[in-house]
Amino acid sequence: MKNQKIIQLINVSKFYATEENPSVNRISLTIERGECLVLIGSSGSGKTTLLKLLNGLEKPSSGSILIKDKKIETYNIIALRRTFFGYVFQRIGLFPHMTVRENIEIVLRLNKKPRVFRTKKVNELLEFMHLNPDVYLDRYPDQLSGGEQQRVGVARALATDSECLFMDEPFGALDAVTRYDLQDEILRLKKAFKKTIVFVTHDIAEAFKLGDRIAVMNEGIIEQIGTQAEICEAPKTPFIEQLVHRGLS
Amino acid sequence: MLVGFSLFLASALAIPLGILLVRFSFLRHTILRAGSISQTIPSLAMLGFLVPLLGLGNVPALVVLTFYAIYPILRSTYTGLISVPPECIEAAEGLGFSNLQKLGWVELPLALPIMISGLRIATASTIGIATIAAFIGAGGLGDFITQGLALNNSALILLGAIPIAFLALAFDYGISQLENQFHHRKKKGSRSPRLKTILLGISSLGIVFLGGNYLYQEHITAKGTSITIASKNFTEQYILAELMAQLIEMKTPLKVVRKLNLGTTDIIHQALLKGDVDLYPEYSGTAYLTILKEPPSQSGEDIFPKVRGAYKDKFNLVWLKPFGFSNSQSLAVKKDFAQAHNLQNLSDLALIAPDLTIAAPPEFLKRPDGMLGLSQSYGLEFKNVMQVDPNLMYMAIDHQEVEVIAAFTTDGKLQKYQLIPLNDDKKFYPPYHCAPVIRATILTAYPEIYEALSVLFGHIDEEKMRRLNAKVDLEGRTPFDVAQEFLVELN
Ligand SMILES: Nc1ncnc2c1ncn2[C@@H]1O[C@H](COP(=O)(O)OP(=O)(O)O)[C@@H](O)[C@H]1O
Ligand SMILES: [Mg+2]
Repeated sequence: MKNQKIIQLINVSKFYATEENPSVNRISLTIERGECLVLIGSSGSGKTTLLKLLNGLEKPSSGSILIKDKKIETYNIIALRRTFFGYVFQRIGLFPHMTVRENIEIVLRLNKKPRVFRTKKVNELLEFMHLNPDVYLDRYPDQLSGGEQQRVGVARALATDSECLFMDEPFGALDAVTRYDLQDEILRLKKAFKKTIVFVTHDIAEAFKLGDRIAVMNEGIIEQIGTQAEICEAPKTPFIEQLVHRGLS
Repeated sequence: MLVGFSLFLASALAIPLGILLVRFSFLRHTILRAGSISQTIPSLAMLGFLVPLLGLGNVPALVVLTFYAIYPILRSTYTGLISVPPECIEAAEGLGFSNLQKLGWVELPLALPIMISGLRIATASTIGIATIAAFIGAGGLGDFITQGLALNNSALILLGAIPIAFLALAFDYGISQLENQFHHRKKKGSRSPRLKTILLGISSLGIVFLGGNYLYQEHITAKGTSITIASKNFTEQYILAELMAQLIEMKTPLKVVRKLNLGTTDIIHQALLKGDVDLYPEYSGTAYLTILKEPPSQSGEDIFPKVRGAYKDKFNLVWLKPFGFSNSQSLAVKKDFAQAHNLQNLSDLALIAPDLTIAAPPEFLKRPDGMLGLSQSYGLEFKNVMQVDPNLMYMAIDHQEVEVIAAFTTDGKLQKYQLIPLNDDKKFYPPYHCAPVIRATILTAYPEIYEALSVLFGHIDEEKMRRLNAKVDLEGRTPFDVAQEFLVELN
């Protein structure tokens, strides 16, 4: 099982019609089962676009994406999203007309899971995210703080027990303490369930804490990819050197 | 009922169309623009246009109501859908919703408040237009209003208007409740299914009711022993139609269906050709100018034989013998006004017309035998022309908002409001002999109708007609009573 390729990008580029430069530029990348790959880079460097490409929300302009050695186009993308990928969106995207419970269980409902199972799952996930179910189950998103919304967004992504988890700046709006706790939970999750995680962040400390490997993105390309040690010891560009020492400002 | 059903139908058409517009930019602007233009078509014109195609009654009314309800619903569906937050759509896609699930679980629920506001607009305008539907015999509360206006009976008007106002309020309240259901947080998940059941119940009830009503109507007419008598929407027509109806009921085994409130000459004529109406009183002059579209002759010759011949040849409609009076159109002024300005003839009026305001029904203003021809023939130029309902016209002149109105020479109201009709000294109008017009096939099938009506032929002169009109208009009696009384008198 170790070192099995779960996702592969081969020379993938993405051009938006409205943009002059490619948002993702000829990226080749292999993600292995059970690893946590952290994408870090300044805003606009193409991190979100890369995640969307992995999830099929955007189609690559060129290059190909393989999921378990088969081209992504050969899969039923909807089924893939429902069972194989979990996604925490940068803009969270909770459904405002649904309660916390309904937001978390929605994909389970689409998958026709029985009610008892869903209720159990929702309660577990809320506990896991440090949210008291008695308090939060029947609240609506606009009755939550930004941090609480983010945690519900993470719970929703975890509901399907999918193998892969894409998390786009999931802890950006959290206070330092909660953020620290949840980072620990992610590590536990990874260990316990061997989840493959692609995690986007702004925060170099978070990247080092969570990432087995870290990919530094800048203007649509990956400038360097490697372990914390590799990046700290041999930063390839001045940009990375600065990042390592001062973080992103 | 008609309102509810047409809203239901309009939603069924407009919501899917709205969804398609969001998905496909193709034709989006054309359709939205066409929709907004469609709202500016006058509903009465639309009704007139539909009668030749669909006949009278509920069907064309339903079509018109639905037609006007579609655009607000379409527009609000479209606006509602494009205002769904993009991050919600992205999340739905990213989590693996199919297109249909995305629509049903996310887009429509989030668009709903806006869609409901569109539904509200549609409801208000539909209820408004529904009152007009009475003109094509769709009945309903609008009937009270149009008849009340025609008979100058304010109780009748209120009888229609108050429930309509309440109906509008009730609909609005119902919809706002619906809106609250979705807006305010439902406390328990079981609440929305119950709402759905209620809605489903209401709409199926509506369908059953309408269906039943329709079948019942079919049942009546299918028996073939009934004859439909129509009238235009003014007093004299009601009385004449009642006279004929009661005579036929009395002297033949035929059943009579009364459609005593049909809007314009054109609507009745089309209904006659379609077979929705069998018999109604018409005036030779109106037929000559409006239906046969002959130019005004100005010779004052009797055109009755010409009209009778043309109707038989062109439409297979038979003019029975005239009742005995001629109801010409003319312009009327207050008696004291006439004295003060020394007015007797229309020619006299032409001299001071540029200082005067005239009120007249829309039909009169547009007809070649109305304002158009008259003003050419006499060189009439008014300072201002007000287009009003025939019955509001009298109020207008009584309250001195206007100095001149269009009037019929047999109108009982002339007396009440102290008006005198001016003399048509240039003989612009042909004599307007009034007689029953009947479908030839009906007359052949039931020749006894002729027998039954014959007591009326030549027995109602202008004086009598004015008296009958006055009994309804001034004494507030019903056309039914007045007709009954007159028949007793005749025998
Ligand atoms: N839907 C889109 N249409 C056009 N341009 C886009 C779109 N999404 C992202 N971009 C552009 O692509 C680039 C990368 O954006 P993004 O992937 O969101 O960066 P990041 O997540 O690293 O902040 C930016 O220049 C952004 O303006
Ligand atoms: Mg981003």
